[in-house]
Amino acid sequence: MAEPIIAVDHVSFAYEEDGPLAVRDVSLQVEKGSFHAILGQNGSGKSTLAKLINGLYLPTEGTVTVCGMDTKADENTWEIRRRAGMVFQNPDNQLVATVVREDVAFGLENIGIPTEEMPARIEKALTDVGMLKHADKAPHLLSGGQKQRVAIAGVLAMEPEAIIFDESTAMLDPKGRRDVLKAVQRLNKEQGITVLWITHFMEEAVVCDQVHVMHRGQIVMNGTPREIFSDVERIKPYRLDAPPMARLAAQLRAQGMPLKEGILTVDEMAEEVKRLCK
Amino acid sequence: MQVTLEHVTHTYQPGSPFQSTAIEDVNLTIREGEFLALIGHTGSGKSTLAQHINGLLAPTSGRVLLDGQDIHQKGYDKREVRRKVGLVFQYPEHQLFEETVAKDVAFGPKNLGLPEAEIAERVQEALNKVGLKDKDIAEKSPFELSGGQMRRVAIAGVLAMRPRILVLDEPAAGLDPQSREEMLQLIYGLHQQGATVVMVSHSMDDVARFATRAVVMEHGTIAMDGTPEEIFRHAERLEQMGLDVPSVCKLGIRLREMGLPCPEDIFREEQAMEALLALWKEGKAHGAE
Repeated sequence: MAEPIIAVDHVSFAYEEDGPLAVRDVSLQVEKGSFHAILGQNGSGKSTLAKLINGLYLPTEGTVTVCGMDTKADENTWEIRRRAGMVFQNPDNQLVATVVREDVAFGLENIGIPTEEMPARIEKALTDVGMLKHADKAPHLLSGGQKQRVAIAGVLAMEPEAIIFDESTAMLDPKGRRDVLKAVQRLNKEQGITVLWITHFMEEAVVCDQVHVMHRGQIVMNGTPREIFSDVERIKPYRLDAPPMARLAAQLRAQGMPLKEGILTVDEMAEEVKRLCK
Repeated sequence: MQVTLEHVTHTYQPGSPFQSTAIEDVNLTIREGEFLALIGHTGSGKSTLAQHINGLLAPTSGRVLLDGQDIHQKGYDKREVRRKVGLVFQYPEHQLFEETVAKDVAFGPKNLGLPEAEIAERVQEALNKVGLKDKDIAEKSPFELSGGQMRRVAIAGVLAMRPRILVLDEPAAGLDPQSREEMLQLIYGLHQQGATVVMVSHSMDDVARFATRAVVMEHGTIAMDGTPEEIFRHAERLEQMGLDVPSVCKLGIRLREMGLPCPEDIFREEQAMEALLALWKEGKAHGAE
């Protein structure tokens, strides 16, 4: 197995001393270059876990290691946040400058990148998310999906190894969601950036390598999307729902139609129907 | 009760360098008992349109009529509109502010100047309608509740005004799948009980399941208006506008491209199931020949 970029080892976390555990004995590893998703209902602990990985919270028990560095050691904090950047949910809370280009520069200034290096890094980052043509616009004139892509560029300019997305598409419309997810998939495939994608949209988890399902602070299922969604009934107690095609396939199987297991997408369903009906 | 928008144009910050026209020459009649879905890309003018229905925004030009009366004419009591047309904003839970759930829901009826007994009755009725019957919940702080519950409290606050028309701006946004489903069933239930519903939505699957009429906005004007069946027949046009079609529609299109005789007009899960079972049985019968 490739070396883990993110290693969460028996981590528990409570917001208050002696308070209830928001995250309970969670272990997971995200290998270099992979694309993992964490799925879970509102309040399942997935965002808390994201903040533990980024060093915004420190584990009550257990250890979180990012790029070989323990998040508990103060001296690691800034290096961890540079190497494992984070994109949040609300696009309007993340952009600070009055021009897109300057917003991307903000993080670079914070980590002390020499001024002459900045323009090249900024242009590359904006190109990577398809936003270079908007470099001189004011962020408030952009759509939600465009703002999120600028936020991603701000992280990318720091040349991270991994990016953690904490429900970064939750407030976007369908097109914005598609554009952001496509940009992230491209970064993962073409540049080998490790991705941890936190979401409650099932259809987004379908494109990942590995899915971890969280429920009441614990990880209750691990597997490939096909493994996770093949059993529509099994995920229901976690207040999740299968992607539409997996659901339809389950209903058709119940009516006796011998569809193969593991159908997740429209194309897979169409192929299978053709095979059975020709 | 019906609301009519006549040649409604709305320009934000007119005369300033930031002037922008959000909707232009919109004509729309919302008929009693409809479940109307307002669809459109971000920035297409849906929310601006929604806020004209209860008179929160006044048209820059054009008229908004409630049962034939211009609600912005001099002397018209606008409170009447606010009472009859309830507006639920996006992320309405951000507007909760009272100490207890019951007080928050009572805020509107109190402003109407109703007697205490009636306020209490309306609060209980509204909380029942949104599925928060539990006495404990009424006395809790709204901020102790889950996101889905907080949103239901916010909707109860609107229902306590006993509106005839309910306008909801993306009521399921940001909720997890089960809370989404509960929210949609709640709205569907209110419609079944006689409320006229206008719902801004991005989910074509939801539109297909619940709406009796769909209005598609593009660049501030109405681009399409019809039943979901009629709208979803134009998958290509919708995609050009950056919108989706329900996933079973996509499946139908794909199957027809592959040469299978899949009927058009499939836009709900149960219709897809029927059609696919029929295809399969027919295939089996032919195979046996």
